Amino acid sequence: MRGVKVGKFDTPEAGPAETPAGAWPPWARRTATAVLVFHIVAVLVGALAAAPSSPLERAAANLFGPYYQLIDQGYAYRYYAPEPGPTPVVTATVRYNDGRPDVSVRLPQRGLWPRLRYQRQLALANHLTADFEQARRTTGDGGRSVYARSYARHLARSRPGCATVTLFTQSHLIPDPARVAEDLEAGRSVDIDGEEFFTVPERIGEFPCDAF
Amino acid sequence: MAGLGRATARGWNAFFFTPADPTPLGLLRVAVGLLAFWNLVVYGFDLHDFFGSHGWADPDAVRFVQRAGKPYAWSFWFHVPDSLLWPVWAACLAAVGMFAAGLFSRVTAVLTWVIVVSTVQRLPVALFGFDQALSTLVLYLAATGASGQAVSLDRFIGRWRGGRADWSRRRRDGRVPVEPGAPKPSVSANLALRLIQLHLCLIYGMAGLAKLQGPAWWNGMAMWGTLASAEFRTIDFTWTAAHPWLLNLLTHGSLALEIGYPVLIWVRPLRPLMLALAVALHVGIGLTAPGLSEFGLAMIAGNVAFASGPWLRSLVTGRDPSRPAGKVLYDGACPRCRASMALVTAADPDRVVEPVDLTAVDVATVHPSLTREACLTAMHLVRADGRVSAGYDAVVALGRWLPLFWPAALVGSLPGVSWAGRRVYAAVAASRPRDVPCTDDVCGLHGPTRGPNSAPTSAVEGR
Repeated sequence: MRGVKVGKFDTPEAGPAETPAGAWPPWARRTATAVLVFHIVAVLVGALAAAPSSPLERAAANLFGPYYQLIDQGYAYRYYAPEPGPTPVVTATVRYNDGRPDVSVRLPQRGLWPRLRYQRQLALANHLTADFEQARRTTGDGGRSVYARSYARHLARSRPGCATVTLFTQSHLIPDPARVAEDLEAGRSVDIDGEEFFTVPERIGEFPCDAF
Repeated sequence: MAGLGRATARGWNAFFFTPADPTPLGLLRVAVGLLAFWNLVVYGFDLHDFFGSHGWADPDAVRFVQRAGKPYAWSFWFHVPDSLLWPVWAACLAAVGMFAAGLFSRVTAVLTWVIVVSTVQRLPVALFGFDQALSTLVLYLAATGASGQAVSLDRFIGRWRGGRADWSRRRRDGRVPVEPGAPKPSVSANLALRLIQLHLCLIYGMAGLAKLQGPAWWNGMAMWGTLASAEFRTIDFTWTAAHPWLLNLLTHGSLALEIGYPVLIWVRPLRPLMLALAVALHVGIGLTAPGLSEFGLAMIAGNVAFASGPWLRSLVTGRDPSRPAGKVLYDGACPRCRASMALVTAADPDRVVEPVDLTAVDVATVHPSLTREACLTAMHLVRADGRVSAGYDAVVALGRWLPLFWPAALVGSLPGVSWAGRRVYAAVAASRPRDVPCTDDVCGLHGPTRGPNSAPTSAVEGR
């Protein structure tokens, strides 16, 4: 080790020279090579097969489907692509028939700490909205979303005595930078949490609590 | 053609099957293990809401969806009844904690992977990039079995067990053979590092290429979408609207980094720059969207795979590995002191400390201010710059040099703790046994050292 000049980021080839004691026998290298080739091709194809993609890429990814499911791979890694968009927000209104006031639940719940909890709730809202839109596309009725029913069931079970749970989705929009710049120049503050930056809530569905 | 094939095979073998220093992998395991642990802790705030039978994602709903699209998906959480959620969660925390510490790391790495994948498959509704990064990194740490080869309790215990026999007996010349601190290079560590490096290139590359579909990444305003996303932010960045050139610079810069990373990271002179930019990117994302901090930390941890082991160790051992940071003068005639030295040398990352048996040397040659009497009263630590610490303060200073003992040194240096520590140390040092009756050939042959600076020769000396 001593006397070998190594830089900060020369790993791993700048380590000590290969020693017979540490080297793998040919059969082990061949076996590992087969596994490596399979895995690397699988991961690459999985990343390429997400939409938009070619039928060839999707067909190739289908071959590795079971492998992706077993080892939790096959992700597309297309963060903030094609570009950052509005953020889905889900709200639920829980109603009671016994005179108690309605309860409103927001996903994500503002001020939640640690922030990882908040991020999980953002993911919950994002997933439900995507499932709702897919259900609407495929069945014509967004209320048939599997996860809408699941979320409603959770809300109903955690609020005993409720009558109905109504779920809504809306988008929190990104303000136009030119308009914000104008406001700033004019000395006006911009409240990006203002009502104007939310789309009109869209009803996902109403679920009776006694159905669960 | 045959030449090309042979060259490819040689290159492949050199890339994947050259033994590599496992130090970066060990650090990566610590970081990934801590992130996985934290992830479970945060799930613990809402355990039943996420994993319960009446949680957000009803297990029947998840399995219904998975049966249609992902029939091979699996998760042990589906089989955990509500009444056992807390015990299973605690067991998961224990397994992941052991993985982070590098204890039984081959087994706990696989257990951690099972826990991470099970959590991902149980909660498809609550996932984001952090889960993908975590699952990928843990996969490679578990599959190669190399994660505990460095910076781990496994290695510490192995070194301590290996050296314990040597330290258990007194040596006339005071020289005890010590296993080198630098871990042995291994092919399995190289495989893990290479797979992580390649996967990072894929992640950054795909993230960059996919952005090319979006006009905002071409007109330089995409970054506004992240800075002004009210649901993600905790800091107000709307002032950037007045500085479109800054937004353009951030947009084009981050896109160039993601697209350039898979190629430029392999150019050695550019590697530090690419890593610094990648860290800056993730820190920036963490600032604009604090909920994505864990994702950024996981990606930064993954980038450690590109750092060299000797350089990482040098951050602890100092830039000149031929010169130890300090010499520890211990009482070689005291079994308890030798046992302490066995622990110290087992935790030494790479010859940070040079143990010196004060009964075998003239202590004045180590440092002119030292006297034998003083050294027999308490352990002394002589730093490379000539400063000397003694007793409890020397123990704490030593702990600060050895990463394994950093937490203990931190606690030990607290005001109240150091007050008590000094008294406990003095009591223990004063009552330590010395020169146990001879029971082996070594002390029988050589006996205690005699001379002007030799130790007292009584069979047992209480102090």
